[in-house]
Amino acid sequence: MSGIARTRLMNEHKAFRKDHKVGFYGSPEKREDGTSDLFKWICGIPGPIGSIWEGGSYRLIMEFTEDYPSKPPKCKFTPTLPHPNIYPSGTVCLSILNEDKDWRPSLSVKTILEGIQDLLVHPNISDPAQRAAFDTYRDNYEEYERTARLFASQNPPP
Amino acid sequence: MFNASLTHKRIFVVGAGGIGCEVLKTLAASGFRHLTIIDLDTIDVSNLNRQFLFRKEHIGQSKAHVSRSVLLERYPDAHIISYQENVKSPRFNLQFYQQFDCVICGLDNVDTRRHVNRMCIISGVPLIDGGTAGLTGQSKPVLKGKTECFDCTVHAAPTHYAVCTIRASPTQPVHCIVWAQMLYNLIFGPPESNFNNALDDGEKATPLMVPIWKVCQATNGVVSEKDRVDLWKRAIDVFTCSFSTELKERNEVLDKNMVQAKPILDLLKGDLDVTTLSPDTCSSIDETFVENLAVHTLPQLAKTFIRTFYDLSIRQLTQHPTQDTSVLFDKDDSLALNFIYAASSLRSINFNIKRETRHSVKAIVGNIVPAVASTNAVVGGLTVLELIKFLTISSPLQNDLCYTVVQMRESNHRLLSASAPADPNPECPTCSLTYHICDLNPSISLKNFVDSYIRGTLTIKGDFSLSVSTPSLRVLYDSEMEEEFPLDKSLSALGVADTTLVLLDQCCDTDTPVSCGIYFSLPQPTPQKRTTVSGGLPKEEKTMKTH
Repeated sequence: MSGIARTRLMNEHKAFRKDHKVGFYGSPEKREDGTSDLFKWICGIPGPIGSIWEGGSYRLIMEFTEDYPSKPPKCKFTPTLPHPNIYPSGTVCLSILNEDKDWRPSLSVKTILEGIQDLLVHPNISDPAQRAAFDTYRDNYEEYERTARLFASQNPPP
Repeated sequence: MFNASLTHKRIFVVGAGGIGCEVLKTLAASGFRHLTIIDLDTIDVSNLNRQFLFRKEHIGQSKAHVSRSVLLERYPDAHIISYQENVKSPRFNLQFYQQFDCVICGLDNVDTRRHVNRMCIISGVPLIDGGTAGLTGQSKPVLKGKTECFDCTVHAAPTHYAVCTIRASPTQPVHCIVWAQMLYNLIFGPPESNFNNALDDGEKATPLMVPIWKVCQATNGVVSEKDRVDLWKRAIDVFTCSFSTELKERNEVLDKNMVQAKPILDLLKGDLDVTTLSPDTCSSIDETFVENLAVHTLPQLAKTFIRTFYDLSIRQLTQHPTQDTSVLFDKDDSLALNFIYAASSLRSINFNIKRETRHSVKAIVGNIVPAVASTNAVVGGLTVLELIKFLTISSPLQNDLCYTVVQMRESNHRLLSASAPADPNPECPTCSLTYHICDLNPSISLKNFVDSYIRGTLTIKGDFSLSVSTPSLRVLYDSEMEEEFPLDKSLSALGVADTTLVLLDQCCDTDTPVSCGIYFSLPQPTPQKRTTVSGGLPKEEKTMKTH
């Protein structure tokens, strides 16, 4: 039991409830018994307006550990997204989520979700995570865009 | 010889391993006669070089029970109780801790240490924590309110490696070893080991990267000849894919400035054609001293990978026919280790990373810290010295206590450096809290608990939330979102029971909430009957425990 992780996540939840951008959601997962799991958050990221992802709302699971906030949470889209930097498992590959790179304990849940939203429109082609999306993004942008728009229409906001 | 007043002091020794054996021996030799020992473990051959209470004939037996009977042979007048149990079990509750004058801890993991530390803080029983890692160690007294506790400082957490580092851009030998272990778990491991497996692509996985159970099945534990042929081919395919094909694809899509991986098949050219290998012609490396430290050639590693992949497949299919019965990776499993060694070495070659020997690979995957008998002896002795000191001083102050660090390095001129223990950390998540002992029956509803106990008895005002950390960290209640919580359910339906610690965090304007702990301790139905077993009893009763 880490007290730091607990109090920080409690505060993150309150802070996020009070202040988040339109279309985003995020809170600890409700369990069957009515309690909520503070280490597992169910979040949602809206497709940025004006982008090929517009209209969709993408469900993402954020998993924290006892070592949060010295270690970043693991972020996983369910279902996975046809995007070059999202692994086939849904895991998001982003430098702010890597403790050896740009993770800082001060990053809030709100900032992480906004960072991932930004990744949707700005793929990082030097660090591909899934082959199919990477190939279409690079070789056939029209096809990539069509796949994204179709995916957006299949994932409307809840 | 020794202080007669110590004879009646009751000491709880947690862990009867490297440090525990030393502590128990020193306690008994110093005149302590009321000891309680707990250890979940059984004696392994590798313990015998430093856990001197144990002998060859004890292998496989309980550490707690054997240490008890060995001590009783030498000190027949001692009263010793032993438990082969997990100290986190609810039966070791507040009342249990309160019977002791002191707890001495010789554990090898942070999680259990935290638990014992917390129980000592809640019960107010002094704790002396001994710990060693190779040639260094320490003895640390914890006295509630007077010294810092185990949780007052942050302990280094094991590093988690980012998915991208493991999958696409390893830079250190450990990245390759973690990758190899993930590959092992993905194909041969139980489902729970793949919860966060970076290599797991779920439904989108390539047909090669799936659990071996999905590939073929053994009928009555027998793998057919045809399946054997397929499995051999599969071993070669996985080898080709993992160390060559996948990396070629990776190289193609990468930025020109990223490090290009070297496909093994290109490097092997001329030396070995893996497609011509067969189970009869392909041997793995042996587990010998020489092999443990050897630098193997590329063909040797390739053969070892293919051979161990095949052998593991056959073994899993015949011995663990479904994924649910499979076993976790074990560093002492020579076949599994050979696989990890070969796979991580090949990957190191792919990425031009320094290779580790089989010996070091084993230490890294097993998180093995070398255990040194003399460090354990020094630390064990120090904990007992510290114990005698604070049992003989009436109400010891912080300055009477010693936090001692041991460093047995040659370059170090001082073996021991002792200092007064630090002050408690006012922000410590454990010892800075106030603990309320709650004897309410958990059948009470959440709403009733909040209204009558928390608002009433504890007179908590304003907004607050309640959480428990067992089995996972869960929020039970939050007054700001009251409607979202099951107010009519009983606390027991929410997993609160005797010995559960409920944490209450009060919200305030500052960033750090004020917290307190509510420890459920039900009144004991009957006065606890304690059976103390002493040395004079017949042998079969010697393993008797309380209750």
